[in-house]
Amino acid sequence: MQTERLILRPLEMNDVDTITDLLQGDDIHKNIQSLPYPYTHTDAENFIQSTYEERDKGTGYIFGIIRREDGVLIGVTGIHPKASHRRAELGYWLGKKYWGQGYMTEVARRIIQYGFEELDLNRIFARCYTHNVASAKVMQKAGMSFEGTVRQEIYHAFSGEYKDCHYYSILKGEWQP
Amino acid sequence: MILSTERLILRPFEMSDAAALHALLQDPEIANGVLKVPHPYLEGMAEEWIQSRLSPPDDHYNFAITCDGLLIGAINMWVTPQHKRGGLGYWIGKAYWGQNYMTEAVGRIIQYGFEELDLNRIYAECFAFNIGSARVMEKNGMKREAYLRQAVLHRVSGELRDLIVYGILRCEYL
Repeated sequence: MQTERLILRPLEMNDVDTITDLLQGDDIHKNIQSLPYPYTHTDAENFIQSTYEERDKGTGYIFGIIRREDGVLIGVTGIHPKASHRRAELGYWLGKKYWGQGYMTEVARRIIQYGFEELDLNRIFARCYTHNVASAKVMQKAGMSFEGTVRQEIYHAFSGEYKDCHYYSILKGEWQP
Repeated sequence: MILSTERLILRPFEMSDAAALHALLQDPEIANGVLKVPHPYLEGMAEEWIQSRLSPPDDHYNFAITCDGLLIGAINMWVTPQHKRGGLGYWIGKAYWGQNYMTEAVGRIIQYGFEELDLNRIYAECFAFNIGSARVMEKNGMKREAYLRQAVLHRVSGELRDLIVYGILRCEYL
């Protein structure tokens, strides 16, 4: 899949080094629930392998985010359908040096289009920790509506805290390509 | 595991509950109010469901709600240990609505979750139109947290339905 500045493609085993590099340091781990820490090459290999299994089962479609101008992988996004309810959860992370340039909004809009047009979904939702203002802004800019804040939903092992989560969603009936 | 309240006993389901369960679930309003009860509720479904609950997975707690020895409803809680979180589901036969039985049962499970299972958060979701269920949660101190639009497909009606999420935290309960 393509956007103005980006390509979204399945992860490959030779992405291991880049993914591992991007996940050093604390900045992404602060905002994400389930990444191993510290993050090793083996973690990246296992993750990439798991994306193939999820694709085969139809429980997750995960893509590397590639910058068109230089071919560099700058982050990862995924959409995780629950077919029985025609809904899916959108997730993403971006290497810190690529923050603040509108890349993630571009990605979220493209994945939403993919979900409604290719996966026959009715609802796409996303969650972020309430401290993660940048992620909430991505959801807003992608046309998602705020639905509420679920309190202490996630135990975030990295910080040792229970985290409140903002919920955002977009419905097929309100989506404009 | 048996839990009691002023008027109720919450205990595991037994195969001998099948006839009473079958009778209670003939009412279409039960299937309309919850996600997973089929309708029409056919011969054999009660036995099959009870069988599936006799050896539940770890972290899954199922109770028959009984009053004066009669089965009047069901309540369950599934626990996600990683997040010390419990999710509730429940229904009660229509003849027993409006008498605070469900509030009593939910209150007892919340107590069990926080005091015995050491949970941090207990939550439940109801269809947005299900005012009775929302009241049960509010009366137990659960707070309305989110309104999830078209979050589930209700198979009996074929409708995509909105859910309201309610939650109570350990720090609010204790």
